[in-house]
Amino acid sequence: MILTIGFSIVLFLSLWAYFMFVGVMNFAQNPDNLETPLPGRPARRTIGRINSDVEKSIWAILSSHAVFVFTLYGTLEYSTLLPSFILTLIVLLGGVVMMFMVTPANRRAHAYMNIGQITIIHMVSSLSIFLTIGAIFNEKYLNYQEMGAVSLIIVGAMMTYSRLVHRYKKSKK
Amino acid sequence: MINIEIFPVLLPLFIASLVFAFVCFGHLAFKNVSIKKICVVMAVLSVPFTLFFTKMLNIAVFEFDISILTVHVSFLILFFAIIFIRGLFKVKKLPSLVQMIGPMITCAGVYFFLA
Repeated sequence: MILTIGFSIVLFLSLWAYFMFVGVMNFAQNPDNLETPLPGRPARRTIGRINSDVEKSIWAILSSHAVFVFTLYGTLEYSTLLPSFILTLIVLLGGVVMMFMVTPANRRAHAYMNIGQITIIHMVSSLSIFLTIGAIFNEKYLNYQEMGAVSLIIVGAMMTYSRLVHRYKKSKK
Repeated sequence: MINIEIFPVLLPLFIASLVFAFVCFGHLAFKNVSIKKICVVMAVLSVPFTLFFTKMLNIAVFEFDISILTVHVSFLILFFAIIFIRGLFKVKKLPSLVQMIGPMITCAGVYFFLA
């Protein structure tokens, strides 16, 4: 169980490494060297804001997938105890709540990254939550082959959308 | 050898992921519309997706005896594949070597997952 949960946490944290590599997030460099200063003014200093916005989007997408995965797969466990229309209603409620969380998060994230990169957030968040909930409540654990396969899928997806995001560079003149 | 347990529900899964991709990213073309209206529309659109996915999941798990991990990962792979194919039609620059190797690694991961 610890191995599966640890794997899902590492999978989720890899998003930060990925976005730092791609250039969406920047925690180290001076904004003055990265952005074009306006005449008579300093650079716009949006680096921190970008990090904050992207992090908000990631957490919102993770929470929305948590709601949906919890309701969807939770109803499977109780499919014999409750009537089917109540279970459907619970899943519907989960889906609607998910959409109310995902839509603003997707729009906010799309200001800084492309759709492929947002898809990677969805894949990683959904898998992390699914593996964690499955390990805690259903006692379903990943073996090493499945972990390797899932890692390959995610790394391949990240490599596919690994083009650096365009940033304004301070001109040398 | 690939395990073919997922094949009976592959088409419904593809439809579900197509609808999910549309619901997730369809609104990004309408950034002039207020986010509240978009949220309501997307929540309404998510209702048929949720009903369809729930029904399909019940059939996959209880009738075809497919594990939910396989269903979930297959759904995410198809979701990614749809976005990737959409991107192929909109690509402007030639992809780099790393970007070309990426889909191959994903395919290898899918093979090892289903094997």
